[in-house]
Formats: sequence, structure tokens, C-alpha cells
Amino acid sequence: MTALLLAIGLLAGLLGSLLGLGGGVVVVPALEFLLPLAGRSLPIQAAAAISQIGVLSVSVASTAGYIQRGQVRLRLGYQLVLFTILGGILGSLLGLLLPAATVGLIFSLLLFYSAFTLLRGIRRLEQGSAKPSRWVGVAMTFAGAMSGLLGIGGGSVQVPVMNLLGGVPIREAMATSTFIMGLTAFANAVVYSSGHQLNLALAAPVALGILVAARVGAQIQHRIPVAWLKLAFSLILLYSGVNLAARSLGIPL
Amino acid sequence: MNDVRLPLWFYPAGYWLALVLLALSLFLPPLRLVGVIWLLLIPLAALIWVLVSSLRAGDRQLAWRVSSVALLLALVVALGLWRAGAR
Repeated sequence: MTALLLAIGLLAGLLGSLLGLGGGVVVVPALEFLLPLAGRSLPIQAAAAISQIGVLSVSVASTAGYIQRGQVRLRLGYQLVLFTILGGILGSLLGLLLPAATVGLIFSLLLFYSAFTLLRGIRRLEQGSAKPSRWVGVAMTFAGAMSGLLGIGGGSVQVPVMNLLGGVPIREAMATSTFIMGLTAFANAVVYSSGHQLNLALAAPVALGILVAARVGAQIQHRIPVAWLKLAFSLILLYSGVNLAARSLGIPL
Repeated sequence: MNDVRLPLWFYPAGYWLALVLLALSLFLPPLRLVGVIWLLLIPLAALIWVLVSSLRAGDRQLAWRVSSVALLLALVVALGLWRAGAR
């Protein structure tokens, strides 16, 4: 069991750093589909709770480098994190209250969206725009809610919001988003823990795998043919999304 | 007013300690809890560092923002403990 959890963390950390995905898109489906092979199954809420610790690991592993390169905007980060924490609390509470099938169905939509953006790429502005939009707070609250509900980092929402609506250059948006994910994941983990869904003993090997692989992934990034990896992983995401949607809707595959 | 920054060693130190604790926990399972709690404390410790630094530097805007985050997190923890105890 520990070896499997460690392998899930390694996979999440490696794919996360190579493809720019948050760990949650890997950790939650992997826990849902692979853990039963070791004779244990988890409700999707418990998988999302463990994934919060994974997100925290991604944040800690990556923030070190971002701070050294001076890319984290502390002032902006501590302003926006209020929105993501509030959204995260709401999302985590929803995660505890909603039926597992509903959360599973929403997660399958996230998997389809992730596969789509991985193949197509997201629109980005290298320098950012001059005037921040008034919708940044609302959008960041939404990002936080998704992170709380689904156990994801929320970077797929936060980075475009900061970049396209907030006028933050793309590299600083990515760094600041990764930095604030840690605090959002902390609040989400507390909410899930209060609902007795967070199993720290299962989360520890996943976190270890992510801490190791995120660093390794950053170092081998330029030696891996990422285009093929994107295509392959998009297909896995689509396959997982179809399976999760079918299971949530009670359709046997 | 000085520009408030996190020291460059802060996150690497947190990372390496978490890595060692979690690696040891593979052989000493009680350390799993310690390792994950340490991981949870890293962004909190950064928050406190920035709060103290901003107060010392007289950066009231940043101190206010960081205090708001700290208060919100304190509220989340208090409500979480209460909810966990009530169940």
C-alpha cells in the first residue's frame, strides 16, 4: 500500500512539473482507480482531502525556486489568497456535503477540461495587461472553491485570471499562484480534517513522492519530449474522465 | 520603507526538513503525522515571517493584508477544531 501511494505521488509530481499540471488532477483519479487494486477504496472526498496535502507539497517544492528567481509577488499573493481561502472553505464544505457521485461527475468535467487545455494550450500574455479587472476577486474565489471541492491546486484557473484579468506577467502569475496554493490547501485540509475525511497516514507517502519528483521533474524537463507526453496524458485524462463520469452516473463500462 | 521579502533559504529549508521527515516515516510510521504537520506549517511560518517583517519595515498595507489572512486562518482552525470535537 505504501509503495503504491509513493508511486502515485511520484507520478503526480513528475507529470505536474513536466506538464505544468497541479498534482490533484493526477492524485485524485489515481487514488480512485489504483487504490482498489491494493484492496482499499476511498470515497472521492477522502481522495480530494489527501490531494490537498499533495497540492501543499507542490507549492512548497516549487515556491523555493520561484522565490530565488524573484517571481513571487508577496503583496499581490496575500491580497488574492483571501479570496482563494474563502472559496476553498466553501468548496471543501461542499465537498463534505455533496454526494460522492456529484463530486465525481464534476471532477470528470475537470478531467475533460484539463485534457482539452493540455492539447490546445491556454491563452497567455507574457507581459500582462495594464489595467486589472474588477472580476479578479470573484474569479479567484471560484478558483479556491474548485480547489476545495476537487482537491486541485487551482492553478488552471488562477494563472489565467491573474494573467488575463489581473495584468500580471505569466511567469509571475504562475509563481504567485503556486505560492498562494499552499495557504489555500492548508485551509482546505483543516476543513476536510474537521469532517474526518483527511487520512494523514495515507497522505504522507503521496506527499513524499511529490516532493521528490517535483524537483527531479524540474531538472529533466528539457530532456523529455513533452509534446508526446502531453498527448499521452491527455488520452489518460479522457479515459479517466469517461470512467469517473460513468461510475458517478451508475453506468457500467 | 524597505521591501519585505522572504529569505531565500526559507522554503528550501522547509522543503528539505519535510523531505527527511517523510522519508524517515517510511521506516518509522509515527513520523508520518509529524512530516505532514511540518509541511502544513511551512506556509504558516512564511506568513508569520512576512507579518513580522512588514511590521518592522513599517509597511502597514502589507501588514494589514497578512494579518487578515492570519485571522481568517485562525478562524478556520478554531472552527475546524470545534467541528471535529462536536462530531
